[in-house]
Amino acid sequence: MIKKCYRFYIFLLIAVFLMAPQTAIKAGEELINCDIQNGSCTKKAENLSVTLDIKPKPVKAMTDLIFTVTLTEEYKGEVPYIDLGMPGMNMGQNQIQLNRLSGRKFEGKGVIVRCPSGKRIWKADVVIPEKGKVTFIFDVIY
Amino acid sequence: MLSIDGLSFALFSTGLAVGFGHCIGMCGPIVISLSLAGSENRIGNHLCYNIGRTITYSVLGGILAVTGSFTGLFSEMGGFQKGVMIFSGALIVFMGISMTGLIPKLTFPSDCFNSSGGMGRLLSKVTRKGNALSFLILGIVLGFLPCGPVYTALLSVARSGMGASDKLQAFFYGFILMALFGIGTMPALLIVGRLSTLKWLKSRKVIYNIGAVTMIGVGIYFIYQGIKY
Repeated sequence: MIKKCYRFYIFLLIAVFLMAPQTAIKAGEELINCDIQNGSCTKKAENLSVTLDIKPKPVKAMTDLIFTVTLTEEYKGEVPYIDLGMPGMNMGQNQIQLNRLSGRKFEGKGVIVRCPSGKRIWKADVVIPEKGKVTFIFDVIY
Repeated sequence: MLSIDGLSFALFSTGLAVGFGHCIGMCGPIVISLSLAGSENRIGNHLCYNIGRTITYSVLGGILAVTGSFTGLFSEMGGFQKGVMIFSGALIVFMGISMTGLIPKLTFPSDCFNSSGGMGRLLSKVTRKGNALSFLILGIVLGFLPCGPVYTALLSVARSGMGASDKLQAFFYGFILMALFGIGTMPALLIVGRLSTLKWLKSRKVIYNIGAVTMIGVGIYFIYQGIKY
């Protein structure tokens, strides 16, 4: 009996996993905090303002993109990087290494991959070592 | 950038992690369909399917490590991937319909694992015990299904080729790295395959029918996403 119940719950678990992508889409839309398609976005990390821009526009998945991070003040620490992911879904590690263009400006190339679930909400965690990270959540065109 | 050793571990562990999350959600319906179609040697069949999938990932990894152009390769392959997604959706719908028993010619016989007529006979020909090669080929084809975590792994692999001394070494790096990723995703899908034999469900008609309807829904969703892709 216990064995039969166990199998039933496993079946339910699989059903829940099947519904997970749709739930994640709704959760993602509520979280959007950056209109990257129409310009750059700015967020605060401690006492530092971090601006993210992605070009070319419109920002499309599966194309080569240039990510630019601009800080409000001079930063001489370890070079920042960007972790790309989807809210609520593990897509594996997609990290963009930035190069220093000046004391305040950093740039790197990367690709936002396409999720066949149709989910278009992506997040970029801009990590500034010693200063923390800021999260930008935005819509991507497929 | 991570070293090859570091990347190997990172990709294997990523495969393991996404296997138990993303892959169960996205590839679970396919695996359940294969369970339904399978015969006595179900674990062997699932293993062959997973090996086939991993072969595709590995070859793509090898090619990307040599060319270094992720967007170039996938802009060429978009149409083919669309076709594979629609095909897999149709397969799931087909299996779901056969489970409902609404269309007699597509219905499994009383014991779906002892196929003797209609749909069961057709599937048993394709997936019978001695025909593990069918599962391997199916795995190779479905390995081309569009998949976010696979793309992400391939992006890392495309960059890894830059550290190789020649193209052959780059191909080898890419091949091995993606093979490790594929192996990492296997345990989750093998467990789903083992647990979804559905033999126990046959005596619970309501649950069995819910499963069938869910599969038809998921299959239609796959076809819809494939058309949109």
